Amino acid sequence: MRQLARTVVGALITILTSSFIVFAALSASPGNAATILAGNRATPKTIKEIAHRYGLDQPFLSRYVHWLGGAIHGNFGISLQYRVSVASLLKPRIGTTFMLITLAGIIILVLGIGSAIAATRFPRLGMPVTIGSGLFIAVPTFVAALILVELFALQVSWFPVLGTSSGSITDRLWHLTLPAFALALSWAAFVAQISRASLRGEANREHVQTARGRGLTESQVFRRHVLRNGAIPIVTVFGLTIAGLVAGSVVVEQAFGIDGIGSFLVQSVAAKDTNCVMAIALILVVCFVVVTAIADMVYWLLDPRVRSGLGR
Amino acid sequence: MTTPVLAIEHLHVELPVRAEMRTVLHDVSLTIGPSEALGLVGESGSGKSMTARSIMRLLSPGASTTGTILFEGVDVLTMHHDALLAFRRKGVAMIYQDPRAHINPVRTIGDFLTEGILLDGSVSTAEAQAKVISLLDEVGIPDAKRRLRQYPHQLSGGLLQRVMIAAALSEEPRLLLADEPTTALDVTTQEEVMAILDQLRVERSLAMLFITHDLDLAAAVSDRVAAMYAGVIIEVGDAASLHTDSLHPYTVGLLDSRPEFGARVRARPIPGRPILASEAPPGCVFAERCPYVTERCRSERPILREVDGRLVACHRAEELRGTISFAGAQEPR
Repeated sequence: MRQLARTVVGALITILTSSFIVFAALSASPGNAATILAGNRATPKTIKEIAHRYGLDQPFLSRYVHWLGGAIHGNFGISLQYRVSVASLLKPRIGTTFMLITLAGIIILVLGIGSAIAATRFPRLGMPVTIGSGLFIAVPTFVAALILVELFALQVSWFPVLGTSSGSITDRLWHLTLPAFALALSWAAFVAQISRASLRGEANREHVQTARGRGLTESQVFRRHVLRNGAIPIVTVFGLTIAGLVAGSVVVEQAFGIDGIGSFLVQSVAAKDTNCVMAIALILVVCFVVVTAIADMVYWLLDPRVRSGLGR
Repeated sequence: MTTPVLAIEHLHVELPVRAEMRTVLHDVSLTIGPSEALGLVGESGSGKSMTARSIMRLLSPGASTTGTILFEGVDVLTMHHDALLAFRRKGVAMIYQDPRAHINPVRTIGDFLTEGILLDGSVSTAEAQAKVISLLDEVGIPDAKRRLRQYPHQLSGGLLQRVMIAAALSEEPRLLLADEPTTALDVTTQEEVMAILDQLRVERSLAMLFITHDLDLAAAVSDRVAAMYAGVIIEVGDAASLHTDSLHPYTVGLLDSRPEFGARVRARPIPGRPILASEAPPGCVFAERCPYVTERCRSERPILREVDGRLVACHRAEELRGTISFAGAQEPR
């Protein structure tokens, strides 16, 4: 319970600090929101009026407090580009991005950790896994996207080339499969290498020898003594990976023309829509912090030594 | 004649080291009778632990093993999968030197203790727990119920080694392999743990291979003692006589090199450094360090032969008997 409280407080402090940095950085960026809102033919007087109406003439700190207060309630102000509330623009896009990331996460889990387990249990698979993961780890996301589209959308047309669907869940998944793979491949390779190293290190530990000497079968030894112990660092890496996917989704959504949070961020930056950029940045930070906090908790549950506040 | 619990015959083990096979055990033969304790002494690297690991068939993959290791008349080295598992479950149990490394740190003590019993599937968890609680009592761990829920890092080294002993006994083995069970503990707990192990073994009339570098300790808890050097058994005899009247120069040297508490005489180490089995010369493995070395010792390896009811691998055993001393020995250049 105390650990939970500590993690939550830590997460809140991180979010608060980063929200301030996000707000300060974007406030300092060139471009005046009031000028943009007022449009091309505005007089200095209308600009002043608009600035006053949106509280843009207030001092920096009070603007920050006002913005943060709104953000807590899901109110991020209005989009400078579309003149509607930021929240209404983000809501449908969050679902799409969430689905993309979840799908990519599952692919990483299955491919990355699965291949590491296979390579540890069956040493004969070690070489292919090493070569495969070494290869995929070096492929950048946008290259993976191009290759996957070429192979599976253009050559054999199993999957659509571009776009999202608003139809049934299976149809949406079908549209997101290639993007999810593009996003997941290099991360899966990374997770595979880390997991393999962790499992292999654990398999050579003395206590594993004890278990083998007691007459446990190889699969019992692996399940009870290698996997559980080796999972501890894997959880940390997997948590960071998911957080990294949030950032990686920006590239993939652009490449596949998916109307999610990531591509919307790029669009908003181009349009100098600071309100949207701030909102998305804050949401990404929150996702990152939440995922890392969950990884921390799982880590804590898996390792009794951490639980009793002892190092190794 | 009864079948010995363990009979090792001409065991030769080579391990791969950087694409090269290196000898670690050479022509090792040992027997342990029912309820007999055999001490195996030697310096580090002499092959004591390798002998134990060979018996368990826990050598690293790629090891090449020849000879036979008969457990109750059945060769362990040719056992198939199921027979090997059964042998490890019910036949033999090993107590390792460092309990902290040899017990899984993320599982509870209870989990570690009951794991062996529960393997059969014929015993319920509650029965297994009751059994290990009474075993913990026997090894002198009070408040056993609470201990079952604790993790290894919450127990001291001495307690953890008792847990290891309890775990070994939980499987009701016929042969116990104790690989330096007290070396990793501090001196005050060493004696307690050794006393418990000795008492429980005698009560159960278990056969034991007791590995140690401490000749006195081996003599105290074993019926017979075998001395090992560079992967070769050089002397085997009953505990009392090996201790007082050793036949092999190396064993005498081992006895001389013990630091004695309160003694005025300084301990005399054997000159030279111990060699590995892979560095052994064609002749006697101890030739380089032996003050009584002859031409024959350098060219012909002495085999283990019977002298006066004991076994010794020395060409000059009869002639040197009772006269061996390292007092005048010089550090070789």
